[in-house]
Amino acid sequence: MSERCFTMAELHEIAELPGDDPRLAHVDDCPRCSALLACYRDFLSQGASVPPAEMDRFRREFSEALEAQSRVAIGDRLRRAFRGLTQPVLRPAWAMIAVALIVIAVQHARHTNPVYRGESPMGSALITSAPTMRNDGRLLLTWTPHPEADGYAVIFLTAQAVEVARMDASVRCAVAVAPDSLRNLAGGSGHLIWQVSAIKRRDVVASSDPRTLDLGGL
Amino acid sequence: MMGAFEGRGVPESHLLRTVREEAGSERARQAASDLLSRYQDRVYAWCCRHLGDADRARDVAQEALLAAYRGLPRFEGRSAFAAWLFTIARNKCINELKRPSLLYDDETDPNGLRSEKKDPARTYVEQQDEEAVKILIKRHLSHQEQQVLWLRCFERMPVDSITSLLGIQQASGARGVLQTARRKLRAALRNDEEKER
Repeated sequence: MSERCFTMAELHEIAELPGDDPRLAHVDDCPRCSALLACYRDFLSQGASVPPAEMDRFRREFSEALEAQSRVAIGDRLRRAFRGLTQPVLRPAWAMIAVALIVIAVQHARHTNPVYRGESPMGSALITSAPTMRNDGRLLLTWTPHPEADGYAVIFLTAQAVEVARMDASVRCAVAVAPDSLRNLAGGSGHLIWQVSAIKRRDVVASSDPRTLDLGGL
Repeated sequence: MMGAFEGRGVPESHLLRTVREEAGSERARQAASDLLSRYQDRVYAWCCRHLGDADRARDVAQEALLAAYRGLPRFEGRSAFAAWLFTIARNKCINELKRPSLLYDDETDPNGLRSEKKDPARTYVEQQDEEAVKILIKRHLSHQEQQVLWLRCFERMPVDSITSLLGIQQASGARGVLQTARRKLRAALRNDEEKER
């Protein structure tokens, strides 16, 4: 015979014992265990039934409460997830990711659409044309006009983006340069990058995309 | 409430495993919901019987089932699921009911509190823990009296609920048993006190 009171975890096992099991001797002798077992057996048996209308009402209300509880639980999970992502330790990482995304977006726009500033080709952006060779042997560089510009400058850079020369084109949208002078600027590389800036009162208001000039074929 | 698992004979253990192993997922939520829907009638009916009041039982049963829903992912299966759910419902019911005194009870003995206001025996019993009370009532009461008194004082069941739970046949039901039990207990405590003097 067990002298020990059963725990709640043992309740179900005790409730399923056959009537002559010696472990029930303690239950018969213990007010706590016999009362608890009577309650649990009553719970399992379902006992006297509740009127159907009353039961339907309970089921409906519980179903609604459970739905509401589920929504709260989902909301809590999302909030916890968001809080996890915005921890102070992660903030620099998020800032770096944001900067990287902006840079990528700008670069993408620049490469896919020359009017990435939201201006039309005929508007304020500068678009350069492919260089052409004039009859006098000089290379002609041309670009579209800019409505605000009161002058233009052509800048020549090495492949490493080092500025090596700058030409004042005044208000014209074209300059002619001698290929030999460009070759001198390029050194042994045979390549130069050129870019046009639109100037207004000494400020650059627009720039063309940099273009590579292959001097070897000239 | 008819869910994805319900009505297909999915074993309870399978639902519990889904709740535990896929915690936070829609499937786990559905499994928990289906599991509780299998027990909702039982919990509500039992709360009705235990509390003796359908309106209170509706609130308490719903609280118990929602507490179980929140606690399910942490249920480790050390006890049967039914026993675990019963424990939650029982605790909710106990919290809902006022604990009556072991020796006096408005419901069965409305004059008792007035006449025995400063009874030292009462003070003694009120200060004892569950174990001491158990020893005391085992010494002086019959099995049925013990059970009725325990249900009334520690399970906090209304007298009518005790009558129907234990199937007491006598006309006064658990009320009569409680009055007898308390009378015996008070007398026993007075005798013990007199012997000590």
